[in-house]
This record gives sequence, C-alpha cells and structure tokens, in this order.
Amino acid sequence: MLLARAAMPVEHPLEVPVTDERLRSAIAAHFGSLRRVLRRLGLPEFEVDDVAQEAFLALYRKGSAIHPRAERQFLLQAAIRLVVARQRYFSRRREDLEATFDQFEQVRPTPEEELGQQQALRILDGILTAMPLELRMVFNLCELEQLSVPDAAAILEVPVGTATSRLRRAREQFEKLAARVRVAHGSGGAR
Amino acid sequence: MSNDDRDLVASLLEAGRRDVAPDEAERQSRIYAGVIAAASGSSGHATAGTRGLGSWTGLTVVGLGALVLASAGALALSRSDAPSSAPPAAAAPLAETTPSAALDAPSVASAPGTSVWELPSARETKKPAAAASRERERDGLALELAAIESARRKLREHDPAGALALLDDYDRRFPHPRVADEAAVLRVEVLFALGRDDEARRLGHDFVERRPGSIYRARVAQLVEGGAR
Repeated sequence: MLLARAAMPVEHPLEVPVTDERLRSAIAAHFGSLRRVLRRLGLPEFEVDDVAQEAFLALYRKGSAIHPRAERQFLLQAAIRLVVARQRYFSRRREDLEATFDQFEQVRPTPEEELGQQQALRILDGILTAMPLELRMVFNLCELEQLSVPDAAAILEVPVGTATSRLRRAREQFEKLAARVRVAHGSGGAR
Repeated sequence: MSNDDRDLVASLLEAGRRDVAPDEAERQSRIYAGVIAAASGSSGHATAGTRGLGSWTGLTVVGLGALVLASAGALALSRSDAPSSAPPAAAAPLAETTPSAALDAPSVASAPGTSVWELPSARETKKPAAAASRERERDGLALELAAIESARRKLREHDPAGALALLDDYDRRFPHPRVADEAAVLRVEVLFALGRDDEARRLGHDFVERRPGSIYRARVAQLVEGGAR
C-alpha cells in the first residue's frame, strides 16, 4: 500500500512536481526528523544527505498527489525504504548483534565522564545497533520521533498489530540493553 | 527496572529527540539545490524508472484520448451532413491532455459537424514550448543556487572576503532573485565572519522584520542573537 494513496485520493495520476516553495518548506520542516531517523537506523552522517535528497526528490516529483499533512510520513517511508535497500544487515543474526553490542560496551566512556548529548547519542546508537532492524525501526518512529503506532505501521507497511508487538519487544530489548550499559558504568549508571 | 535504569532510558531517549545537526541550515540549502538540479536535469536517476512509467502512462492516455476522439468524430461525420460549426479550437484541449481529457473527448467530438480532419495535428501541441520554458526557468534557478553554493564554499574555506565578493556578484547577476532568502542568510554569516558585526546585525534585523514568514527567520534571529558562531 502506498502511503501517498492512503493519505489522500490521487486526483492526478500523472506526475506533477510540487512547487519549489513547497519543496523548500518541506525540507525546512522535515529534514531534521528525517536525519534523526536515518542516523538512528545506523546511516553514517555523510550518507544522510544523499538519502534525504532522494526522498525529497520523490516528494518533489510525486508531491502533488500527497496531502501536505502526509508529507512527513511519505518522506520517512521513502527514506526508510532507501536505507533498507542500502543496508544488507537486515537479516543479521542475533549473535552478530550481541557481538556488536559487546564491542560497543568495551569502548564506552569511564563512569567519571558526564553523559553529555554526544555521549548519550553514542550510547543510544550503540544500543539501537544491537537491536534487530525491524524492532529498531518501529522504536525509532514511535519512541524517538513520537509517531503513533498506526502511523508507524503505515510507514513500515505492516499491520498495526505487528507494529504494536514489535514496539513492545523493542522497548523490552532497549531497557534490557540500557540496564547492561548502566551496570557496566558502575552504580552511578552512565552519569 | 530500577529508577537508575529508568533515568538512563529517559535521558537516552531525550538525547535522541533533541539531536540536531549544527549545520542543518546549510545542508537543507544543499539538498534543495540538489533536488532542483536532479529534477531539472538527468534522466539516469534512481527514480527514472517510475518517472519513465509515468511518461508512458501519459502518452498512452493521450493516444487513447485521440483514438476515442477520432472514432467519435468520424462517426459524427458519417451521420450528419451539417456543416462544421465548431471551431477547430474546440479540440485544442487535447493537446494539453490530462487524464480527464479521455473522458471529455466523446462529448467534444459529438458536437454537430465536428470533423476529425479539422482537429489540430499533434505537432501543434504547446507542450514542448511550455516544457522548454520550465526548463529555462529551472536552469536559471540552478545557476542561482550554484552561485550561492560557491559563496558558501568560500566561507567554509575560511575566505569570507571571497564569499562576500561572490555574493555581490550574485546580486549583480540576479536582479530578481528567487532564492534571495538564502543569499541574505549567507550574507549575514559572511559579515559576522568578516568581523563586521554591526552591519551583520542590521542586515539580520532587517531580514527578520521584512520576512517574518521565511523559513530562515529563526536561523537569522539565532545568528543575530548569538553573533558569529
């Protein structure tokens, strides 16, 4: 199911580009969210703009059929599809993910270090990387971007029940891994 | 889960929600320029497949519309001996075919005396001219964006004087700019980088007052309040 179709009836099946002004507003409004999602999905910073540009190009070309209120969902869906197509570790085995997390734990900061924004992001990314991609995606959308479960389900093109169950499992995993990080940092936690 | 664990989870999530790239405004401008350039130029893009499909769909609709119109016209001609009263222009919308043209075609063609031979040929379509004009417009926009990007690059290379010269050149080349806001924001940054803080603030305040609805308003206000970063 294409989100664009779900979001609004398509009046013009032919492609009609959106106006430059609308494109500019969409970039200003949604680039931040897109960037955060892409980064949390493990995309390096230097690749984020390329993927974001592809997503905005899709919006530019098809945007006349997309309701302005559905822009963010359309862009997130396009970007996530691109990331999934680029990244081949979707089928990574759980043991590999655990190994990655162990490596991440070894390079964590000392307990004396303050949990600043950048440090918190490194820990966050380390934990997310240790989670399977399908859980990471729904967690990212619902917990970090604070979308509703039905919206996340539409973006990920899965039934709402599936998204709900994945989110529950993702939360459990995230909390478990965060607790491991805190224990590894000593009694004061990561602070 | 202990309170400490809960606090850690909350602080990690908060960090994730607050994550903003420091150079976000610059990157947004680059992406905008990239999208415009990609859309106006190349055909070898990743989305070329779907775009190509769209074009073929359009051609198919045009073809089917013309076929329906031609058949109906021929039928009308064979049934009626009345002289043609509908001007050839009545069929002109065919040239600008939209999906609805195929649906409208029978009613246009059923006008008494409309002959298929009076219809304009496909060559008279205005589409190529419109497309060429649109292309020229986009080329102009791409040139503007390229000029701003050059100035931005100079600033990144710690050459604010060079950046300012390019911005002055931009003003001369494009008396009716379409991306004047980007140029104004960059000029404020450049002036701060040159140490001309008063001038930068004046320009920034002027921008904020003059363009309250601009997407760059917050960025300029931030620059003016914080001075040069």
